[in-house]
Amino acid sequence: MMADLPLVNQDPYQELGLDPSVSDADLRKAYFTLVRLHGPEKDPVRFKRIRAAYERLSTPERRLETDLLRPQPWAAQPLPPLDRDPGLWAQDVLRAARSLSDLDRRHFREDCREVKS
Amino acid sequence: MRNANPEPSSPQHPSALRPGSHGYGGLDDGFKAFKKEKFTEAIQAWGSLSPDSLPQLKPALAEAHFRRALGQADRSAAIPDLRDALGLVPEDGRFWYHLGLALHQNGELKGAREAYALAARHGFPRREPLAYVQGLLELEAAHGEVAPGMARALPGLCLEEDLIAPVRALLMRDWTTLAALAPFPAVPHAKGTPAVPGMVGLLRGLGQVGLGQWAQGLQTLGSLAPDLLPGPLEALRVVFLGRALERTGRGADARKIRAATLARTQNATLGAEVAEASLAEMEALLAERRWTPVVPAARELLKHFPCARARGVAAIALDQLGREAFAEGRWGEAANHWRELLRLGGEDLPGKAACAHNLALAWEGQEQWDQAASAWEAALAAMPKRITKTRVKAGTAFGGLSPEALIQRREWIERRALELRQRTGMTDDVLRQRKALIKRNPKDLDLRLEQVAMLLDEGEIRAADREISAILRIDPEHLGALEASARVLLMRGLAKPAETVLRRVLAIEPGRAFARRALAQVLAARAVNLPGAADQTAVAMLEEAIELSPKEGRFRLLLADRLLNGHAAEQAQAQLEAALALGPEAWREVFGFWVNRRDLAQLKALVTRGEALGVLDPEFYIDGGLDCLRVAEESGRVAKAQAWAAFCRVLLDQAAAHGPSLDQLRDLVSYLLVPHPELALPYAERAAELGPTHPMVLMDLAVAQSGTGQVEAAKATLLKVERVARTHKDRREAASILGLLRVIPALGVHSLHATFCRVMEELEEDFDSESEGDS
Repeated sequence: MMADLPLVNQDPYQELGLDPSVSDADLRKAYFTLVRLHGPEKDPVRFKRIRAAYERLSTPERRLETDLLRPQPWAAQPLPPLDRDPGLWAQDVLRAARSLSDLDRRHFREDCREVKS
Repeated sequence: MRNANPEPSSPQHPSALRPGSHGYGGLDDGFKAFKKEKFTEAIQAWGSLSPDSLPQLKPALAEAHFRRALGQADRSAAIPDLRDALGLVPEDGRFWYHLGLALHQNGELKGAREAYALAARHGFPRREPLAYVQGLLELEAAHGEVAPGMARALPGLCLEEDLIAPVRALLMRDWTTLAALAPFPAVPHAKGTPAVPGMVGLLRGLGQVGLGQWAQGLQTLGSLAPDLLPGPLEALRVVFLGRALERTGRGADARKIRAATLARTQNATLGAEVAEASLAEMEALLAERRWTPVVPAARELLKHFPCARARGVAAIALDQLGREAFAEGRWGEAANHWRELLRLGGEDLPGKAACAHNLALAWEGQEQWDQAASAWEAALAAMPKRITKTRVKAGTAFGGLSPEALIQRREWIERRALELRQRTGMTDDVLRQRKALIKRNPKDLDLRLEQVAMLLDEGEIRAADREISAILRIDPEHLGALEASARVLLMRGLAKPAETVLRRVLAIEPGRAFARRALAQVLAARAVNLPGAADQTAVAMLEEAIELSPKEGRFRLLLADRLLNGHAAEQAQAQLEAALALGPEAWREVFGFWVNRRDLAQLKALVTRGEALGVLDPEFYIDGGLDCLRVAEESGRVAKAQAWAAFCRVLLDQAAAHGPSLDQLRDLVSYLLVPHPELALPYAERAAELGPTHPMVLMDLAVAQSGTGQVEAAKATLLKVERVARTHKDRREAASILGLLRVIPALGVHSLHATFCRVMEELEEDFDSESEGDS
């Protein structure tokens, strides 16, 4: 049975204050530290949440699922340089040169011939 | 100043068309139309004649096609006429020249090159403009290697003497030569083409700015009127004027003039400069993490200047906006941002798999399973496809992930997409996709078993059986497959072989829940069908069923029934006691057991005991009462029927006394209403107390009252329904009450007919007039 998308603010990494790249050993260490701070008698609600978060992350299958139900980091590529000619784009020079030619003309009376009856 | 528009040259092919002498009316008509420059009419008139019988017609008709071609605003539209003209007079260089121009403008450089060459071969008289466009064509053909291409092509340019140096300088960005142009020389232009006023000023200004002489350049270029130059030259002026303005501290003026010009003219240099300024602003916003204003600005920029950097800036902003929306549960917004990011990035978007992955999550957040499945599939498609064992062994990483991690992710996503497709109910798609997945991972037995379960649900028993056999070939003791196999056998009505398979499962894993329950059911079904003479066998089978599924009271009741039939009352009682210990639901089942055996005394004893223990609830009494009512209705003997009916009343009164819910009362009333209105009435009244404005409850009460002769009370209740409908705020709800009222005649409550008709008439009139008012 597939798990649904976790509700907003139910990120187990956030709950444990960890980065998703945390190793298993560091995960365990962080869990025990938090459990000592928020024991079941001292802070039962938080304890329950910490435990649930740890349970999600300590099982490989559930951790994979947790990881994949979070937005994936999208490494934006370094911005490419602006594609520009330092002085003048060749196509603009060509376009200007064209404007001196018949290509940009409309009237060619000199090329016409009379047809006599 | 040279003559830009020389007088039409005298015809080299004077076509002596003398219509009168040939007697062809068409010739004359064509000539008249030609004179009036109605070339289409001329072509029609001359086209109807045979050029072979009138050889002089060909040049005239060709000229008409040529003239019509020259009149076309869109040069590519002129091509058919030019080809027609050439079909008639192929040796006319003018036609080839203009065909070359049309093809050149159309980007068909190869065809244009050939046409220009033929124009030259056939003696096109304006050799310089022809040589100039030939030179330009070669420059354009050298696209991608522009500078060397230009250098090679320059000797081919045939320009007026005083234009060669400036144009060569412009093409080679030789600003020194341009800046040194005399202030007022003769205006250069291509020989044989119209002069361009302001040309020298432009070239000199470009040179000055190119050399960093900002003030002089500003003065030279600023003195040229904006409408003096053709568009492409004006754009060059603005490029350099903008640079001069910027360097002289007038950046705002530079931005203004660039934007205004770019809106009118296409110019890549100008576009890049506007883009650069705009990108600098957007990148400053990104640095401040202000994503929102970046997106519309980037969209606007991309419309005019599509460049990778602007796409990159937009992508960063869209991704961040998507993440912010996602983190706050605004799934729709997140999906829109990520969708736009994917669209913007196209096929080459780096990290496309991650973007599609995130989009899938956003769709899932909206419960848009179909779109989510498609996004997951897109994410899969963007992931590396071939992950060979060698690469896995070598530990080659893919985008920061180990091959093993990547394989795990792929498999998870594949299953996720499949499960989502399943949620959309697209079973065929799921079966097909899973089949493909199985083909790639034939040893994934869990996956194969999922396929079996779906095939069985779809009734595709043969396909399921094949899949089960495939699993069992790989793992003959696969418990899930063996259970599925038993299920197939049961679906085919083969209880005994199913029993064998289930026993095999339990021999491997005795605690297997499905197999235990299924075997218990098989045994119970077989025991029930055994004849009375086989009581011993049946009892043994039922005892085994109980042992396999001890929490199912049904098997104990079946056993108790067999035992009672065999006069083993004590043992039967023990089974019934064990069943009752299973909970409140079992009390209803035991009640049903005694109803089936028509044992009123046992029923009464059971109820007394249940009441004493406090385990009976309204539902028990209602179900029990209705069971007794059914027995009473079926009973042929009056005394017996009365006894059962009396007990029915006792139970239903107990139900009413135990605080039933409105829904329970409504169910009871609807069951009793038509056949037994007198029985229904007290419960309908009680329901009306709980739901005094519930139209359906009131209507039931009206029907019950009418059925028991309380006609006036029934009318009053019906009018109450009318009031409820009128005061209802939601018109659709009110309309549905009206719909309910229409049911009354179908109930055969004749005493209510007149009231019903009046109420309906008034209500419907009101609704009609309101509808008219609305319209």
